[in-house]
Amino acid sequence: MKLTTCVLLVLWLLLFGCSPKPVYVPVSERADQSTQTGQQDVKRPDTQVSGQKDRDRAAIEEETLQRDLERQRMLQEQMKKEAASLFKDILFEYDSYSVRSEYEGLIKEVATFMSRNQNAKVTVEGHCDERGTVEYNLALGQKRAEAVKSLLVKTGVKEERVKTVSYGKEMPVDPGHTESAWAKNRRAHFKME
Amino acid sequence: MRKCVWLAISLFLISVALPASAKVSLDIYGQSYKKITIATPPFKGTDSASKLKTDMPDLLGKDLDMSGFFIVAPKTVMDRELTAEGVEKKDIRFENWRSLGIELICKAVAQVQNGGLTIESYLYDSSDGTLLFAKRYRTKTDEWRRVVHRLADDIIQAATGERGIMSSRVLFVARDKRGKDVYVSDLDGGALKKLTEHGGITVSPAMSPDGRYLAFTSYKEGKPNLYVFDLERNREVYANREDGTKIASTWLDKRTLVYTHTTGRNSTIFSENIETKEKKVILRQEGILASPNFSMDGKKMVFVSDMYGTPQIFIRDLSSGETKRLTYAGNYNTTPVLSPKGDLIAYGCKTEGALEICVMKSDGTEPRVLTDGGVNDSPQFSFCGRYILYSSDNGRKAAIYLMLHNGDNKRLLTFTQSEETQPKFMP
Repeated sequence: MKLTTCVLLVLWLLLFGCSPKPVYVPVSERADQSTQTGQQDVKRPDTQVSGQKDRDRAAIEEETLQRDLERQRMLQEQMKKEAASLFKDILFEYDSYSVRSEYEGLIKEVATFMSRNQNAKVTVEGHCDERGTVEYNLALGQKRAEAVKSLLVKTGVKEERVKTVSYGKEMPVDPGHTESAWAKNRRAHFKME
Repeated sequence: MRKCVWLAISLFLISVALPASAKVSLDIYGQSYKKITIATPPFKGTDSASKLKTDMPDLLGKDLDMSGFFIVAPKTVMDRELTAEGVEKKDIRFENWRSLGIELICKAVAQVQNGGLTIESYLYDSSDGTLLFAKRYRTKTDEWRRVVHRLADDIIQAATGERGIMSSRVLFVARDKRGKDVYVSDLDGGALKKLTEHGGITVSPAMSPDGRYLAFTSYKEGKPNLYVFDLERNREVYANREDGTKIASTWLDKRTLVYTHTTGRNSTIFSENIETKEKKVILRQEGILASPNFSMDGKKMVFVSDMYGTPQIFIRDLSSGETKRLTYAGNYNTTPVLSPKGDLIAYGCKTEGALEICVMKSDGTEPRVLTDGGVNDSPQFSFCGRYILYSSDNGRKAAIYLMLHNGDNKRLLTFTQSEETQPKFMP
């Protein structure tokens, strides 16, 4: 539901928002309209012919541009979808910020994905479970995010394409107070920009 | 502003408190102290004062009870004869009070004149009828709660040798539907005010000693940035948007903020003058540095470091640069705060399944657990050093508590109805 609204909004923006003209008219109907409104025609009849051509060309370019944008958007969306399914959370031991060796494969997959999608940027979020102090957990979350980032950088991802942010214990994925909830909350989460 | 009001009140002192010997002393490692029994009979006063519809003796009793030093006589033990007595020494039959086991009696007269409230109060020792103090307080009628808190603090001073903290205000973080924001409130939950309005997440507030600048970390721009808000001019005066996590800790003076910055491999404790932007590195280390806190003279700093693998507490002499590890027990010791006298450190330590508030001597010896289960965080000494403010989460909702520094007299403070954390006494 939300996604549909987003897509519609983006389409609407593409069609109307970025266009220098207030109304988009398909090329086939354009000639008619210009004679109908005809304001410029009356005021500057000598520029009518060349003006008409310019406008046609601009409209075509615009359409191509929009098609490109749309394609890019679709690609971006597809990439994010792929990333979301690919980028599982990295879980940590209590009070630890070393990435366990079992996540080597995941780090490599993320790095491969980043090299396939050269425009992609990722934010690594560091999170902690509730069994610690607010302040220490904020620092710990940062270290978890940094640990994952440094592994990505070692695997060949450019440093400037990876951001880090710590949420400490402020945003648990599972609000429970059990071992299994805590285990899920001690995580580094990948988020595509 | 508030200080001015209090100053004005002090000017109306009609007689300076007589030197009263301290009735109780509190020793954290010694035996439990004996509580004093006190009565706060109904205030005498004019009709206009009774029209205020306030129960001042009740609030006074609650304050004294919360202080942990008194047993307050319930209203029901005072018969008509006792409550009808006058306030002057000659009117009081001390043997009647003594027979009820009451040691101190606080008598008062409340009057409303020209829209102002005047309270005259007299504190008597029932054993020999000594007048321990007589004071007159004057304020606006809608500030009656504050006057009662002040009276309570004066009684606590007369009885224990040190002022009470019932007039204190508390800074804390509370969550509402929009997110976490910073609030300030009187200790009794009155005069609640929201200081930030960012929605999202705002954490770790630190108020400058003059109460003008509020430093905090907020995610309002998507990452944990450090901001300072000028409460006098009502605008943001400082923002640190560098990469990494920046957490405000405390203020060294009116303009110098201390904060930690964790980014890349290192953590750094900075001090920065928020007006001149002059910035100094106090300490930089690989790994995590957190929760720096300073002695009153600014010469010593306690902090948390994970340099040996787990969070432990260290103390650093800032002039010599000598650092000493203080905690060796357990694998999680954090949020240290030095007591105002510098003799104690309160901190959080992880025990089997819980995070407890503990206290130890400032050389790391004689550690003692004060709380009893749950996630307890952010201990803070009162300015007199006798109380510790902290947050406690028993799995349902985090709330703010006050206790004596020996762990006795734990009291839930109620401000908002929602989750509350990171309490600090207002300067």
